[in-house]
Amino acid sequence: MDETKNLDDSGTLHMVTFRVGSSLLGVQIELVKEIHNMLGITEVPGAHGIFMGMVNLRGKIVTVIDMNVVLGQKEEPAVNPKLLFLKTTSELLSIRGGDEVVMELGYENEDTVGLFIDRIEETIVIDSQAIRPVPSNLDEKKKMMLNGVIKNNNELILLLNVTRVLNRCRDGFRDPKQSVNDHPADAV
Amino acid sequence: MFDDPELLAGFLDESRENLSIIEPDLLELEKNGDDTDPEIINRIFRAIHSIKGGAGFFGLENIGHLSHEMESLLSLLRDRKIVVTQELIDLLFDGFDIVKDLFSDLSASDKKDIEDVVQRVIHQREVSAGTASSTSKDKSPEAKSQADKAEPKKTPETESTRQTSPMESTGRGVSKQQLADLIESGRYVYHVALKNEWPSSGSVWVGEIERLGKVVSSTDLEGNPIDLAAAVDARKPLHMYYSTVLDPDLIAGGLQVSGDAFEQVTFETLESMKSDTVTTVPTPAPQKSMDDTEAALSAEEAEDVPEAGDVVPKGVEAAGEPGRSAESSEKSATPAESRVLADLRKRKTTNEKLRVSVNLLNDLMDLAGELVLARNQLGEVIRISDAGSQALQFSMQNVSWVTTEIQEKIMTLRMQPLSVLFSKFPRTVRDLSKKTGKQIVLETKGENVEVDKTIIELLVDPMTHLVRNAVDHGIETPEQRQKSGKSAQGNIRFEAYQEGGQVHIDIIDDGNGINPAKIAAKALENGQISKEALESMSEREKLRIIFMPGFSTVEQVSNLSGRGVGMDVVLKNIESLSGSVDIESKVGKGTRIGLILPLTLAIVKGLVFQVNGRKFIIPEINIDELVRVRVEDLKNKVNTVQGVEVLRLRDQLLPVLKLVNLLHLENGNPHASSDEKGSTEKQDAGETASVVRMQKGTVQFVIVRFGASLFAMQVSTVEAVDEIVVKPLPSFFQKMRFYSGATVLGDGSVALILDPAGMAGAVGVREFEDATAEAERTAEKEIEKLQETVSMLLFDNGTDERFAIPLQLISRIERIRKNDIEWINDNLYYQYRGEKLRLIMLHDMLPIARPKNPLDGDFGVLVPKTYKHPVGIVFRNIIDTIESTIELDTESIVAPGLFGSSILEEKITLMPNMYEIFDMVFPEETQFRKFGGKTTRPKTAKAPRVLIVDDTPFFRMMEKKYLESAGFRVKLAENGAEALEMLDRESFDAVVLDIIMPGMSGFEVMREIRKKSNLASLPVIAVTALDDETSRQQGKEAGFDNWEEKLDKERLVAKVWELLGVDVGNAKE
Repeated sequence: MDETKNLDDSGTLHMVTFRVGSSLLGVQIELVKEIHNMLGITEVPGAHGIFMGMVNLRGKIVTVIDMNVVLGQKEEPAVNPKLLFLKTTSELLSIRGGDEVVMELGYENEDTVGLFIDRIEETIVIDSQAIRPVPSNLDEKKKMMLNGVIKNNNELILLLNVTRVLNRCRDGFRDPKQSVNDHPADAV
Repeated sequence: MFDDPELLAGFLDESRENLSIIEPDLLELEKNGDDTDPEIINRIFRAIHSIKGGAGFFGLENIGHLSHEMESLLSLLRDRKIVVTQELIDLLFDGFDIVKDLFSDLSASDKKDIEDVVQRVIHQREVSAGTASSTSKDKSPEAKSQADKAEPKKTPETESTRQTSPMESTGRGVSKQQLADLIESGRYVYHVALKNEWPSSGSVWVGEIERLGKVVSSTDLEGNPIDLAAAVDARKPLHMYYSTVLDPDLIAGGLQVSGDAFEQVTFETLESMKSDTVTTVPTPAPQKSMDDTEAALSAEEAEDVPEAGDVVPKGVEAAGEPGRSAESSEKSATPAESRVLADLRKRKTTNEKLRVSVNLLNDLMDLAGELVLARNQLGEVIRISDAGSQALQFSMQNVSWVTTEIQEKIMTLRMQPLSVLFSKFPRTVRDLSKKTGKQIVLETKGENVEVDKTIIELLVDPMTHLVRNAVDHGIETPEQRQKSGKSAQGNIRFEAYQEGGQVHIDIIDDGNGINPAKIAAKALENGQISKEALESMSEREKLRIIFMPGFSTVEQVSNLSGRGVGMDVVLKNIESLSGSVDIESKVGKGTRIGLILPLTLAIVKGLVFQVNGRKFIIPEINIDELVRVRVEDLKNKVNTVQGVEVLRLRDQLLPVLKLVNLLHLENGNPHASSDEKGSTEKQDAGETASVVRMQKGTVQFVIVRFGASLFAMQVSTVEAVDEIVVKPLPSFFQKMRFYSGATVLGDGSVALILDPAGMAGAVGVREFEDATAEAERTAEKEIEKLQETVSMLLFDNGTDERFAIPLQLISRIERIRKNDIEWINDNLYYQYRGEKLRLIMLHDMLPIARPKNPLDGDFGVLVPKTYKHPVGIVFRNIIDTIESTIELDTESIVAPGLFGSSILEEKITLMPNMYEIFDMVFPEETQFRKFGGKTTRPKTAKAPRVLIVDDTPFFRMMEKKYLESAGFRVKLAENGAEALEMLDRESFDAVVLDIIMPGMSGFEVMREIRKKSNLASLPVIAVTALDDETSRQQGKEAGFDNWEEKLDKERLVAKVWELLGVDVGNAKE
């Protein structure tokens, strides 16, 4: 099911907003598991740059995704960055009303992931009617990852399509330099 | 149909369990025939009975149909109406196989055609019972006679009370005893009182509840029996006893009444129930289901109790026609079927077992790991804060203890006994032996050893393959066996035991064994291996050819095991479990395949190491050894062969794998904590990626073994071997072939676990091996390279020349002055502890430079460990002691008393042969040594021939010189395989054998030697640096005649003589 369409149908939405470089982003609050100060990251050599690595979240090994790379931005991370952890589908299903959100968003994610972001902004309530399509002048890479935009306090909030982001992470990224792990012929 | 996925899953599990229990019982039945313990037949019967019941309950028609027919057949067997024949056994096996097959895919089970086997069962029943009458009626007389016959017999426990019970009534149309019986049989019994509300339609409601259980009785308030449906429709208050498999949590929903309308009847409530005068009156309604119900009851559970009919008269008729009623019972869910589920519940509660999802277990494991971490951190805080009052310390200890306990307990949850695995094989062996016409028994040992569930599951396929192989190629036909003097019956044995955190499973057969020569010939013929490579292979290595991908011999292909799956797959499977496979075989005697596996996949021992500031882990099971090479030795030790860097380790060349290059780690760890990062950068500043230098000027290599391949992985620092909890990689990284998982380290950080398989692929180890062997041979011809490190004492003689003597040979070093020296007969002596030490000046013995004033000022004396005479070598300065490999040059500088020269610390260093020098000083001593006090050679004997086996060229040469100087003729072998070959070809009078050698150890060589009848009494001396009692003991057991420390010439020579029976002073002609 497509996220965009369904967001339009529903009434009000609670959005957690956060900043990555120059972008202000928003995700639906139901998807947010928790927000953490930076944890010690273990890099996964050979993986695409979109993956910063893995962290230990209470014994669970969690993948950290660099939102700057996702958005195609080349900006320095903040001094005190944060990790925004997303729920898995089963976690979401286990909370009340979670099944509806899963259905609505077609949310499919069995890995706990953390988004590497600069800082958390306020949580806002929006009217889904107010969501506008992504402006055409936006970077193509960004557009792919968004459900739409919304204006708040004279600033444009980019509404993240988490499923699409994760799907791209899963199979979209592979560049020749980083693929040593798949083509080791020249590695030694 | 009662559609509860949870119950269905429970039924499935139970049925599979039942089916797995059946197999050994059937095998037992086959073995013992009509003498089989009735309990075993009963067990088989009960198993199929349960399955049939459940199948009916869940509407699984095919399963129900087949199991019903099989049950009827089994009941004949149980009642001894038919005899056990091979045909019957085969049919039962087939039948159960099909039931099993149907269970494998429930949704498709009803689409499968099972008529064939059903007809076979029916036919068998007719034939066996000798009543080949028409099918529609034949069940009746059988079952009837069965019931008749059973009548006088004592009945099974659950029913026994029923017929003898007094009719103590509840006052509501049923006796207490009846209710008690129902409860005892595992059902829940409820008393339902409808007073204020009624279901809307009586007949619909009755129909529904009859599906879920059974209305035992229904009465009006006065205790008169009533028609239930009618009463409900009429909205009359009523009492009802209802028995069902539904537990109290579910019953309200099942009955569709409110919670206060019913109560559960238990033994306690029965006890307290007042005894009433009203007699038992059976419920007249609803007719049809009562038929089925009671018929099923009497025909199936109460087979031996037609009296059950006195509870419900209708049942008597039904019992007379069990065939019909049983058939109909399949189609509708009846209490008979429910009993299955009741059993299921009962068993669950009595065994106190729960089914828990593996995911939950994994979560628990994660949390336990975190708990341990938190505990450690807490302990640290308490320790540092100094706030640790006694009470706090005590609490901390408690927490600590409980934490450990929790973690251990959670680990054990994943464990299962090997019997789960082993029990699958009696059947396999039976089927295979029938097919091949061989007689084989399977024995198992150690089935109590517990292993991680995952491992057990993944072992099924490889084990099956090995068993097939054993039956197919291993065990001979009975005729062949008897011809070769064996018993007709072959034997396959599983032996499992736990050792050092690993599980060993041996699969042993007493068959024909594997002939290495045949294997080798076939491999050569297939072009899988070169002639040269074969020549250098030991027997053992030749055996391992069977693990090569695609290897097969003509005799190996058969309909059983030649299925395109080879031993290479077995090996791969086992290795993917971090295990290894060992093979041993004796032609004519049998084969042993040894599987070595970790206890669990969830926890492994792993080596934590760093490369450029990043931590990685490699499973310990894949590590052969750790090697440290000085930077200055790198040039000698690391060469380039055909463009690949190789590490020279003893007599092997290992490809070098650099994680820095492989994983592009040139930039250090960008995310590491700041201090870690700093040190990393410092360390690697200015380094190229080709060689990463470590602290203290050494480079570390981890020698990794994967299957047959070895490679050297260059690492920065080695940290520790830890027990790590292996976690799967996030899905994003699962395709990356260099990593097999990840773990959380003790400090809470995540570390990647390297996959040796992926890395071995990356270094191209397999392709590389041939090139290595080639390079090795040419290298050896050029110069004898001494690879084993030796501790050497470097010293000078007051000149520019440097000397080196193995430290091992020196017992002490004395500093002396000129005044301490005495001159006697032109010889120098030094008074030392009441002994006169003869001093030897090297420049008197060797062609070397003479120091100007050799005896001025301070100088030193080296005293050797063992020599007949007190003697010492004079030197001037000690330069250093070094641990180094030695490239001995035996050509540039040659002289008596010298082994040769070598470049040590970039300078030419002379290597004196101490004992040769001493012998030059005491010539008569040599003579004495040689021939037992006689100065002439014995006329008779030629000089004895001794074979020296040592992988280290330096020691080889020393031993050779020692023995040659004592008059022996010496031959050399570099490894066990070569030695064994030489022993086959030539005759020797004695063998001097090194213990620690690559490939075959000295122990193994020894055992091989002792196995050869012509060599059984050949004198063999172990010469080794291993001097502990265990090794000595082990040596003795292996068959060594003597155990000597390395480099002790005197003793070595003496022992060889002794073993040759040449006693000192007694060795005349």
